[in-house]
Amino acid sequence: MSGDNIIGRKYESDYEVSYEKVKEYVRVLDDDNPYYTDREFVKSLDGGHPFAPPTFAAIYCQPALEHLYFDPEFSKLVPRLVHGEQEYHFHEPVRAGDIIHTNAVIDKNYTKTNQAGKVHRIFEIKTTSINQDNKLVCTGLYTLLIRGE
Amino acid sequence: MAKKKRSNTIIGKYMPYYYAGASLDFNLIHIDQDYAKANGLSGIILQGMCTMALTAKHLIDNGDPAQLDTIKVRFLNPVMPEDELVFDSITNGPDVSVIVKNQNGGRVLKGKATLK
Repeated sequence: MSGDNIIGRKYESDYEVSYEKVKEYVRVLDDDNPYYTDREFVKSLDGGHPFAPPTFAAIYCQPALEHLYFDPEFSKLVPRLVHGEQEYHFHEPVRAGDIIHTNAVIDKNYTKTNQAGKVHRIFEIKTTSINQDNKLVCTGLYTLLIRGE
Repeated sequence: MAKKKRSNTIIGKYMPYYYAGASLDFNLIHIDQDYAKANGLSGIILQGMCTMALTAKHLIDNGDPAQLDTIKVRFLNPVMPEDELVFDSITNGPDVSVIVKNQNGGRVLKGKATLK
C-alpha cells in the first residue's frame, strides 16, 4: 500500500505572520479579541505588535503539511483523508511580523479497525515551529486518518 | 471549584469557503459538493481546524491568548454548513475539558486544554 515507506520523512517551510492575515483569519471566526485586532491596545500592553491566535498554528504549519499532501507517496491518499485528532502545545506567543519555521515529520503509521469492521490507516505527524529568534513557539501532533474503503 | 461555560455558534452556509480562503486549506471535501459526495460524505464539511479554532475562541473568551497552554481535540463527527454548535467547557484549576455538540445533540468534538 502506498505511504508505507514515508515514515521519518521531513517537510519544512517558513511563514511570515502578517497583521492583515491574522485579521482575515479572526474575521472568519467572528473573533474580535483586541489582542489580535487592536494595534493600539496591544501597543499599550508592551509596545509590541498584535498577537496571532494560538490556533493560527494551523496556518503557519500549513505550508510544511502541504509538502506532505503533495508528496507523490501520500497524495493518492488525500481524497480519503480525515483529520482525526489535533494537539498543540504553545510556548512563545506568535505576533504579527514573526517569521515561523516549521518542521513536519511523519512519526507513525498504523491501522485501526472501527466498529463497522473498516480498516483505517492512521498517520501521526509531529510539527515543531520556531520563530526568528530561534525560540520554540509551538509543537503539534496531527493525527490523520485515511478512511477505509 | 469547577467553572462551567457555554457558548453557541452558527456555522455560516459559506464558512468552509471563507475558512479555506483564510487558511489555504482547499481540500476539495470542504469546497466541492460533488467531490465530497463521491468520497462518502453527505456534502461539504467544515475544516476540523476551524472547529478547533472556534473551540479555542470559546476558551480564550476575548482574554489574553497566552493563557492557552495546550489544547488537544478529537474530531468525532463532521460539522456541516448551517449547523448550530454548542460549546460546553468545565474548568478545574488549569485543566479544561470541552465538548462541542451540533443542533441534533451529536458530539462533533471533544477536547482537553490547559491554561496558564
